[in-house]
Amino acid sequence: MTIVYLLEDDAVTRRNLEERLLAVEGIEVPVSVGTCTEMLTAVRAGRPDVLLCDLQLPDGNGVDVIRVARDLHPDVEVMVISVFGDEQRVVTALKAGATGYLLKDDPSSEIGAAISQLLQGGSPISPAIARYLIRVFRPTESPEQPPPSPVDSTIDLTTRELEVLQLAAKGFSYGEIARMLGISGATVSSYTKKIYGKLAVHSRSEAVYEASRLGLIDEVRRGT
Amino acid sequence: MRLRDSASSTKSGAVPKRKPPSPAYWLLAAVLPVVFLATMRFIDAPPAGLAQWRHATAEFAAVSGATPQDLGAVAWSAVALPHRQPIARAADGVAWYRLTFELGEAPAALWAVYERRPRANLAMFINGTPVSAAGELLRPYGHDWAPRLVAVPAALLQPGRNELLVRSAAEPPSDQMDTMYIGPHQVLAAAYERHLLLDVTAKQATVAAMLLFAALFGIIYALRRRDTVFAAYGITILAWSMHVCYSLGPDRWWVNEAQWRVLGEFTLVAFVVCAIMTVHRFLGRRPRRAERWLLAGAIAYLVVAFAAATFIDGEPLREFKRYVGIPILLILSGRAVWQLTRAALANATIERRLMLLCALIVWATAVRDYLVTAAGPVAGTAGMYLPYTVSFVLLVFGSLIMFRFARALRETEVLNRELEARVAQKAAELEANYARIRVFERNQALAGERSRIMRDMHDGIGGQLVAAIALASRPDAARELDGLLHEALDDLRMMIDSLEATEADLLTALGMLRMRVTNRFAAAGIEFRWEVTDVPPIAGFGPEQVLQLMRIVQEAFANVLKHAGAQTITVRTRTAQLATGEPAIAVEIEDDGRGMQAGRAAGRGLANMRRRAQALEAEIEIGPGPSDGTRVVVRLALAGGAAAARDAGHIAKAKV
Repeated sequence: MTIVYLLEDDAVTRRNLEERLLAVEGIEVPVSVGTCTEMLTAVRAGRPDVLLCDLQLPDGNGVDVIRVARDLHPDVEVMVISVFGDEQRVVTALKAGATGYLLKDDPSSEIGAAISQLLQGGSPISPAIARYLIRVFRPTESPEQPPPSPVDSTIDLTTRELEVLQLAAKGFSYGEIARMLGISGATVSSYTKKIYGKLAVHSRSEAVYEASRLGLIDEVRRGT
Repeated sequence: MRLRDSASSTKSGAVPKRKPPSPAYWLLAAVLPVVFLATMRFIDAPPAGLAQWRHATAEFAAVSGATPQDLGAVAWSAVALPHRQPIARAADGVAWYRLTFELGEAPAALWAVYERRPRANLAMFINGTPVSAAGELLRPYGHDWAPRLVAVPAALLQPGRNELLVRSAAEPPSDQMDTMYIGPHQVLAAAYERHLLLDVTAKQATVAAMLLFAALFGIIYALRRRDTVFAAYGITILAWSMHVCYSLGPDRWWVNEAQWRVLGEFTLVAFVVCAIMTVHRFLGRRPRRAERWLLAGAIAYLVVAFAAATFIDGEPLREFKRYVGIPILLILSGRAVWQLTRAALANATIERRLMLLCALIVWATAVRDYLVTAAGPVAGTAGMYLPYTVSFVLLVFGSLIMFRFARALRETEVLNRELEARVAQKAAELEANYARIRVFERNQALAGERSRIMRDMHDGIGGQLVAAIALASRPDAARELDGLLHEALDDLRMMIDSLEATEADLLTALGMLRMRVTNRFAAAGIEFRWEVTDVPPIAGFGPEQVLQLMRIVQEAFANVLKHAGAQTITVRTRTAQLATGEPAIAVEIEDDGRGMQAGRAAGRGLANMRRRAQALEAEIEIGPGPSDGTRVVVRLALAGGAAAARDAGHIAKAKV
C-alpha cells in the first residue's frame, strides 16, 4: 500500500485528484486537506510515502510544508502539483526537496505511473527544467547567467548526469536517452532524481553563502 | 583669473579690487631705506679702537724716485688725508707721501700700516727700510676697495720720532690717498679682517648669488617664454652683477685707467636701463618709444664717453659724469620708482608693495652713494652701499616667483574643485537621464509585452473559451468540450513555456511542446521520432517568435493527430538555406499518413500556419513528404526576421 497525503486548496480539483489517485491500484489517500496548517499537523502525526502538494495555498507556501515534511521524514517522496508544470514553480519545489511533479489535469494512468516511478527511485524531467539545471551546475556554459556562487564542489554533477540533462534539454525522452547512452530507462530517471537531490543541497548551500555574504551568519566568517 | 602678473590683471579687468596701501606701509616705505643706510653706515664705520692710530695729515711731494735714497732734497707740502683728486704727480705717475709719528718707547709687538681704500700701488718705508714691495706702476693699480695691511717689524721702530715714506704710483683720474693707520698689528688686523669681509668677500658672495638667480630666471623664462618679466629680472641681475664685479677691481687688460672707468660706467648704465625696463614689464607696460630712446641714449652716452676717455684728459670726463651722467641715471630710475609708487597707490597688491619697497631702498642707496662717494658733489672716501641692496632685490624677485607659484597652485586647486563639482553635477544629470531612459524603456518593454500577451490570449485561449461557452449550451457537448478546454490549457502552457524560452533554446521549446503532446500521440498509437540536431541561435528570437513557431508546429501536430492516420511523426531540425541563399535553420514535421487531400489544403489551420510564418518572416512549405504523408518545413533566417530587426532597432534606439 502506498500512503499518499494530498494538499490542494481548490475543493473541486482536490476531490477530482483524490478520485484519480484512488483509481490507481494500491494507493491510499488518508489525508486530503486544503491548508498548510492542516497538512503540517498531519505530517507531524503520521508518515506518508508520498506527499502531493500544491504551492500557492491560502495560509502559506507549499514549499514550507515540503521542507518540514522532508526534515521529519527524509525518505518521503514529494511531488508538487501544478497547473502548468512551468520551470519557475517546479524548480522552487525541487529546491525545497520535491523530487517529482504532476499536472493538475494528468489522467489517472499518468498519476499512477509517476508515483510508481518515484517510488522506484526515478523522477520525471522537462526540457526547460533540464536546461535550468545545466545552468545551475555548469554556469560557465551559459554566459548570460550570473557568475557562480562558490558552492560545495562535492555536489557537482557527474559526467553521466550532465549528459542526461543535455539530452533532456533537447527534448529527448527517457527511452531515447537510454538508447543513446546504452543504459536502461529506469537508470536515466534515477539520474534525474539524484540531480534533484543535488539541486536541493546546492540551493541550501547557496542560501548559506548568501546569508554569510549579507552578514546574517557570523560563524562562517569566524571559521575562516 | 590672475594667472599673469598682478599688474596685467588690472588691465584684463577680471578682478580689479582696488585698495590703496595702508599708512603703516608708507611709514615702512619711508623708514626702511633710512634704517638700511644707517645700518650700513654703522657696519662700515671704522672700529672704535682704530681712531687713535689714525693719521689725517701727511706731507706730499710730486717727485719721482724708486727709494727714499733717490729723493734728496724735497719740498714737502702738507696735505690732509684722504688726499683726493686731482693729484699732481711726477711725469711717471709717481708721488711721495711722508708721515711722521712719535713713539714713547719702542713697541715690543708687531706693528702695521693699514689703509682701507688704496687706489694706487703703494710701497712703504719705515725709517728708510722697505716694509712692502710694489710701489711700481704695475697693473692692476691696486684693488679699488680692497684694504691693504702692511706688517712692520717692531725692531724697525725707535722711541721718539719715526718716519713713514709712501711711494704711490698711479694713473689719473681715480687715484687717491686714503686715511692711514699706523699702530699695533693686532688692532689693525682686526679692522682689516672686518673690512675685507665687507668690501671683498661679501661682494664676491653677492655676485655668486646673483649669477645663480640670473640662471634661475633664465630657466624660468626658457620654460615660459610668455613671461618676459622673468627674463627682465634675470638680465637686470646679470648686468648688476657685472657692475659689482667691476667694483671688486679685476685686471684692466689693455685699457687705460680712463677707459676702464668707462667700462665700469657701461655696467652701471646697463644695470639702470635694465632695471627701468624691468619695472615697465612688472607693471605690464611696454612704452616702446620711451624704451627705444632710453637704449639709444645709453649707447650714445657710452660711445661718446669711451671716445672721450681715449682722447681727452680724464678730468673733464669726471666732471661730465658727476654733473650730467649720474644725475640723468638717477632721474630716469627715479621716474621708474615714481611709476611704481603710482601703481601701488592705484592698487596695492602684495607684489607691488614689495617691489616698491625694494625699489625705494635701491634708489635711496644709489642717491646716497652718488652724493657721498668720489663721483658725487660732496665726495668723500666713503664706500658704496649699492651692492649691499642686492639681497633685498633677490629676496623680492624670489618672493614674486613664489607668489606666482603659490597663486598658480591655488588657482589649480580651485579649478580642480570646480571641475570636480562640475563633473559630479554632469554625472548626476547623466545618471538622472539614464534613470529616465531606463524607466521609459521598461515602460515601453512592459507595454509591448502586455499587448503581445493580450494578443496571444485573444489569438489562442480567448477564442477557445468562447468556443467552449458556445459548446457548453449543447447537451451532448461534454466530450468536445473536454477537448476544447484541454486545447485552451495547452495553449496557455505553450504561452508560459514560450515566456521562459530564449533564442538559444529552440530545441528546449520544441521539447516542451513535444512533452505536452506526447501522451496524445501515444494514445493515438503514433510513434514520435525526435531527430533534432543542434542548431545555431537565431538573432532576436524572443518569446514572441518562439510562440509563433510553436503554434505553427502545434497546428502541424494537431493536423497529424486529427487527419493523417499516420503511424509515425518525425520532428527534425537542421541547418538550411532560404530561397535567397541566406543561411537558415529548418524545422520539419513529417508524417507517414494519408497526405493532404485536395479540400483540406485550404483549411483554416493551414492558413493560420502561413499567416504565422509570414509574421515570423519565415518560409513555410506544406506539402507531400517523401513517404506519402505530409511534410511541413519552416525555414527561419539565422540573421532574424523583420520582427527581430525591429526589436534590435528599438533596443539600439533606447540605448542612445
